[in-house]
Amino acid sequence: MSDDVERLLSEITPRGAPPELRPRILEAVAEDLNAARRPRASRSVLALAAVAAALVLSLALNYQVSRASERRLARILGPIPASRRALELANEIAAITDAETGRWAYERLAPKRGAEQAIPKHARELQRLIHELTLDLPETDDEAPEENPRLDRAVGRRPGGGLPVVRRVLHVEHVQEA
Amino acid sequence: MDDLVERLARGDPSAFGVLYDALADRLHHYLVARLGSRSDADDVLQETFLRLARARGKLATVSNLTSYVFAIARNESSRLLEAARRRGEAPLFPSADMLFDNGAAIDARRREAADLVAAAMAALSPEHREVVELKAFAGLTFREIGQLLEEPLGTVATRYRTALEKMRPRVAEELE
Repeated sequence: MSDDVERLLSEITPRGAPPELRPRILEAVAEDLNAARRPRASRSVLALAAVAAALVLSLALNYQVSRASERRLARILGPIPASRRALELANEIAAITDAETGRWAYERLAPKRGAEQAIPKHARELQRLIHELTLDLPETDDEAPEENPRLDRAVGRRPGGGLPVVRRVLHVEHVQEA
Repeated sequence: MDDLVERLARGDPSAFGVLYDALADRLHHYLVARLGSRSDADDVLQETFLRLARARGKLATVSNLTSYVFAIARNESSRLLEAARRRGEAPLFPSADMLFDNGAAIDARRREAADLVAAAMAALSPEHREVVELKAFAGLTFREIGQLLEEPLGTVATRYRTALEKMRPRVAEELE
């Protein structure tokens, strides 16, 4: 029934794309394909660089944390004592070479001189801490434990609906005694 | 066609040339009919090929390359139409000169037929016009049109027949 209309449609020639469009589109596609390939290589380089940077950063942080931890331990426990083995080694080196080399070796193997000097200071600090911990402070009335905290607190509470009354407690006992 | 899909998926530039030669004229005509502008159709056709190149990894899952490429073109043209609609612009159906080859070499009778067909298509609803365009000029099968429009095959075929019947009175003098 509609075959004649269909036949008419088939008789007319549709206009196609302009000829100049073909190189324009295919060039754009080729550029896009090349651009997509290029960043892939640079992306992998960037990823490697990021991994390397993260590794370096983690090592640096680990070193910092270790140093901080060592410093904290040194503050609490005092400087690391010189090892007997280090002293023996330094003596052996001095015997083979000379006293100067032996001293140099000892300085390299043993903790720094500053640490040795810190020993009396650390001892004083420890003494102070022990004194503070063992100090017997007198118990005051304010710190007396409540027998029944819930009841005791309810006694002190003002009744509901009343206006708050601010009371100033004057410590005049010493005046009265006088 | 499978070989072409494989080459396109690999990003072989010459495969895009083959695809262009196979589909560009039909796609361009469809886009002119949808957008009412040959320059807009040029731009959308370029965008279609660029999108195809960028999404070439998905080509392995495509069952029908022709429907797939037409779907990209349709989506791109819909985006342009939506932008125009937001600006308050309504696309006009293109004239016969924009759609059909009305060169001097073509006789007066065929030129008149082209004018009548263009006028008859302009009078159709966008849904009917699109099916006529895809079937009669883009050369898609009803199955491919169904895939593209996401409509059942029967619906597409019925819509096409209805559209032709609606065109009949307008092209009657040419049919006599």
